[in-house]
Amino acid sequence: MPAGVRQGCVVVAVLALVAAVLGYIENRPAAISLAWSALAGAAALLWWKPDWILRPGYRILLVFLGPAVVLGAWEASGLGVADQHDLYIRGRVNYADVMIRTFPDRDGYRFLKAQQLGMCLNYKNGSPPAFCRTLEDVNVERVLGELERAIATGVTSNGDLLRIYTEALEEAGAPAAAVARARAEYLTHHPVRGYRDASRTSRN
Amino acid sequence: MNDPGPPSEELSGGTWRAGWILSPRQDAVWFLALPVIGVAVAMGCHLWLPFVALAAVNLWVTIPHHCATWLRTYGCSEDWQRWKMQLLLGPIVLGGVVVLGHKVVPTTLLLMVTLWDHQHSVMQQHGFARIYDFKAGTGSRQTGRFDLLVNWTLYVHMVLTAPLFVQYWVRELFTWHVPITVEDIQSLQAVSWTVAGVVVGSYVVHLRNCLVRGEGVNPIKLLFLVSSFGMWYVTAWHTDSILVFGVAHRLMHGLQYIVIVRVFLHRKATDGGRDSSASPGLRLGGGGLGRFIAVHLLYAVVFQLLVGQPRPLLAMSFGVWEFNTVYEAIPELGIGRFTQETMYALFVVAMIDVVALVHYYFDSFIWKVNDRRVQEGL
Repeated sequence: MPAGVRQGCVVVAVLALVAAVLGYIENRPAAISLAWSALAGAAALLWWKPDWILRPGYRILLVFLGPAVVLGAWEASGLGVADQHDLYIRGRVNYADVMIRTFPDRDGYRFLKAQQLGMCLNYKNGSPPAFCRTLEDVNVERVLGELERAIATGVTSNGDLLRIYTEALEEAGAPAAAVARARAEYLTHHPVRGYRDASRTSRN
Repeated sequence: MNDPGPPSEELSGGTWRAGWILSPRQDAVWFLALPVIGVAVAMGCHLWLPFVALAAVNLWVTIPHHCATWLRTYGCSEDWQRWKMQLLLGPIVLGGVVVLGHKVVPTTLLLMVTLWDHQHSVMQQHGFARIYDFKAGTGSRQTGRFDLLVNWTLYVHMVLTAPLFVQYWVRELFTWHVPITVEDIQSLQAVSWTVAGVVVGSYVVHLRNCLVRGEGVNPIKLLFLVSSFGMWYVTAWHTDSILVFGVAHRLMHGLQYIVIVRVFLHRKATDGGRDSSASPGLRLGGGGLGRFIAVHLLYAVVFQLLVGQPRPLLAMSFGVWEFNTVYEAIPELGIGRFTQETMYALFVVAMIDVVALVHYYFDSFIWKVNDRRVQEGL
């Protein structure tokens, strides 16, 4: 290993150790300090015994477990992972809208809009987010309309689509037989025999 | 399967040299046509079978291809002696990582397993490409790096641009609070197209240089790469179905792997390598073909009975029986989610992830084509 890289390992180890101590002093989540400590340890080992880590069978662990430790610390600290509401209705830039605009000619992503509308419809925690307030006439009929248009395209590979459809039918007060049929299609949703033909889509 | 065929064969001009991994006929089936057949089977599953067909392919192809790894690593005394430390510690370390990951950081674990799965897939096709050059005696010292570069570039390009994959990484970015915009995605994809064009162009120039310098190019390797990437691109671009992609990919990946392990073990067992046929892996894997297949199917059944309870028959029967049940989530593919936090579900998923990770890990060091002892088995 080149001398410059070994010196770099020392710098990384020292900086990571400092970050771990600072995290502890500032009372940040313990996972953060542990992750920095692990990084410091790996860098120190790379400096001390590079042959151990770089030989076949060990390097690959460093490649995957190294970033995983950092990401895992981020997740465990509670800072990193968004919930469903964050994905679908947070702000004006959210997952559903980005996918729909990125692939406007693929109607299959329309179920993301239905998911989004459904979450706004069911929002119960305080005042609804700004995104939901800008939507007009969010109701279960509109959610069902979006879902049925997506189902009519035949792009039903994603189980979420039919799961949401079943829930929306129940929410809309559809007959029990229609809900049961939708649930049966969801449970064996490949292929969606009854719904493939748009003209056969029926809530009754 | 064991006839290696001629190591090289002049086609024309003395610089296009065809070399085969097995034999012309067997390569045509397993390495050139299989990806196309995989797409056809996947489309059939899409049209006529429920989603559990993906789990069935997983059970009857992917799980047995793990068994092939165990036969070679734990069953052959040569590999056992060479890699004892990794073979002992690997499952313990990765098992700990998976169990801890499921309990504490499931999103990170899912991401790690998925990325390692992709890396593993790319490296397998790269490995086969290297075997083609090894067999034909073609390419220069730089060809391996060019192959690696073009494999990675084309695969990453597919992940960045194909709608099937875009939905997953965009969602993942939002999950990690990286709110990417449509304009960002389009810019990234434009860069990806540019890079892919430059790399493929460079690869073509490299091939031309190999021909000019008389180092030779194996046309079968190029056909193999076209076939493999053709399968990936067609299923990722022209369907929105993880079922179609998953079935086609797993058929290609799993069957090709089982075939090469079978050839490796059989050759080691019959060619008088330093490993004696007393090794259980060579007896089971290098003996009769029927026994080899039976061992793998038995492994699949035992594995399914262990982790597939209480509904093992569902996956075994391609979903033909027990239509009214929901198959468990397949988290490494991002399909579905846990419906209940039971210890049993945790055990099942952890088992699947541990086995997959250990397989990825072992493959990262037991299949180096430039390793003389590996070459003995090819």
